[in-house]
Amino acid sequence: MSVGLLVTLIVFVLIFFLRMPIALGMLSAATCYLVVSGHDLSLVVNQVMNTFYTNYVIIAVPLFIFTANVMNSGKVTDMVFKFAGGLCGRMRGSLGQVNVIASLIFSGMTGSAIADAAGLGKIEIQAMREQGYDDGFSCAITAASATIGPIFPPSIPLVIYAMLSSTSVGALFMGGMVPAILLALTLMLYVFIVAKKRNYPRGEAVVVREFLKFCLRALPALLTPVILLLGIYTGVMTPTEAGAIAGLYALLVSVLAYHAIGWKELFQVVKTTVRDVGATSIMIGAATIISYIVAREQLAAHVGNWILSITSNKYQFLLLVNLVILVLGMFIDTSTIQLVFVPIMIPVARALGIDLIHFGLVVTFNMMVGLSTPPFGMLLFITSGISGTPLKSVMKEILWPLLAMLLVLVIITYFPQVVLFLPKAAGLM
Amino acid sequence: MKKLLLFLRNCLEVYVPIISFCVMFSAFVLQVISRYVFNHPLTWTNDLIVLGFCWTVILGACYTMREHGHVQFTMLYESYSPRVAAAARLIGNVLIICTFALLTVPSVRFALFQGFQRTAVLRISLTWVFLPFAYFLLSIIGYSIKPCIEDIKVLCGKLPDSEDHLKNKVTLPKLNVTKEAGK
Repeated sequence: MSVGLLVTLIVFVLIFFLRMPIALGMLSAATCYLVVSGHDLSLVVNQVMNTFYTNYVIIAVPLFIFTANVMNSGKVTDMVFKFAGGLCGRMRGSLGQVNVIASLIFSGMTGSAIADAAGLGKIEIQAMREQGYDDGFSCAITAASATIGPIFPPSIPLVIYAMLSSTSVGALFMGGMVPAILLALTLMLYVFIVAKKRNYPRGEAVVVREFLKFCLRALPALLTPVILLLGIYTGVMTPTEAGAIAGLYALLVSVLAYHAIGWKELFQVVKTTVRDVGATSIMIGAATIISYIVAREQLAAHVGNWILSITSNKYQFLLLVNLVILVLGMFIDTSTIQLVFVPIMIPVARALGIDLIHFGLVVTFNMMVGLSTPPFGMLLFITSGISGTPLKSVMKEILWPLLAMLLVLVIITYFPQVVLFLPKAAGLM
Repeated sequence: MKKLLLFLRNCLEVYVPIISFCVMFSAFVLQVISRYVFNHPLTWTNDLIVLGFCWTVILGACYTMREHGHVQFTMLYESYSPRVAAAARLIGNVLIICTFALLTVPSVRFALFQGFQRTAVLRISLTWVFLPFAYFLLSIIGYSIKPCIEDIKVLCGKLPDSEDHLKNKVTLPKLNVTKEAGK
């Protein structure tokens, strides 16, 4: 190991001990490497800015963030919630089921788990509390169902993975559909069992006329994923352009159909988007200079050889990857896992003959499980924060939904066809 | 003078990225509409899109820093005593200040050097793509100085705890533990 690499690793570890902003810490670590190994420091600006300047696909990230922010600032969440309520009707534990279905619908619009939990989650938890559901359960099912967001297309993490692995965004999006629906069904089964056991209330009966009214009002919002996915798969738009069109459509729906956004709100939405983009995208830029060091020092090859010396069986490798990401997800933020650790694993997956679309879905799904795993589960913090529920009770209730998520993870890991048959059928692979 | 500087800071870190985002967004929409509705593909929009994206990200990241919105690992920091937390944050910030200061001049030089290259259609000098990075470095250095002063006061016993550490402990573990929108 070179001195430069050693210094980089030390600074990298310090990021976590010293509470440095991770993106800025990565840039500092890279600078230390360049200083110690006597390289030109302009490599940092060159690498970081060229990532933004030449990677057209990652421009989709700010556009999907904008769409999510527009959706959350308007009445779209309310409409989706009412529509899902109408679908579930008199079912026992109806609001729990509504929670899952609404998340599935919302995930087709935003591609962000945080947006789902913070926007839709607020309405869901409040309604569940009023009907006598346990707060811990309400928060846990909201957190678990929000996980569907980045798995069902569109998905911000899948766009970033496409950039890292040079795979098709369209194929990744399509590959995410079945796992997301499978997760929704598993969570609904869990809600059904708990609702029966705890005697949670039935939903209100909705007459056909009223249901049609809900459908009609929610229709403009419900069309967002349809437009987005049709646009991508008919070849009319690239996924990046689809992000812009989805944003425009969300804006039009919020302004014209729901009269929910004025100039002042729009300014606020764009301002929030800029802040969110700054946080997310600078991580991507900083990770590229780390990737440069990893490539220069042949770290990925060393790690790859080490892994291959342990196992050359692709199923054992997938098990190892899943375990590592699960453990990392308990402590580290998902973007750090995706931008620092996943690029090291991609060449090994390729060498073992694992389809990179399948691998992408497995790691993304696993990282999203990490958003709900204690002690550092972002979705747990959000649902606990917006509802004022003690974190302890959310953590207690998340156990079973977590097991449900892990079950789906095992299925998609060891049955690649679950992920791959749709992209293959669509001729994307 | 202070008001003018604050206004300039707001222009660079809030209004310019907002305008850049709007330009990028509008260019995308125009590109798709022009291609499929008017059957007239546009090429110049690409230049605006990538330039708008670069400016949104880099200048937006300065605003994110101001809003304490960058992703951080705070679990250990929250468990530290006030003095240890102050020492940890101080070391981290000094490291950022030193390394970013080292990067500033080479970044400006590189941005100016790139002036000979131009975007494909609008012929905009690439200096405009790379130069905001230098502002980003200076801005982050600026935002890192204030916490350093606060942490030194905590270490000298003039302050019981830093505002940031206190807030993190009180709101533990709420939304500001890690602000992230990309998932």
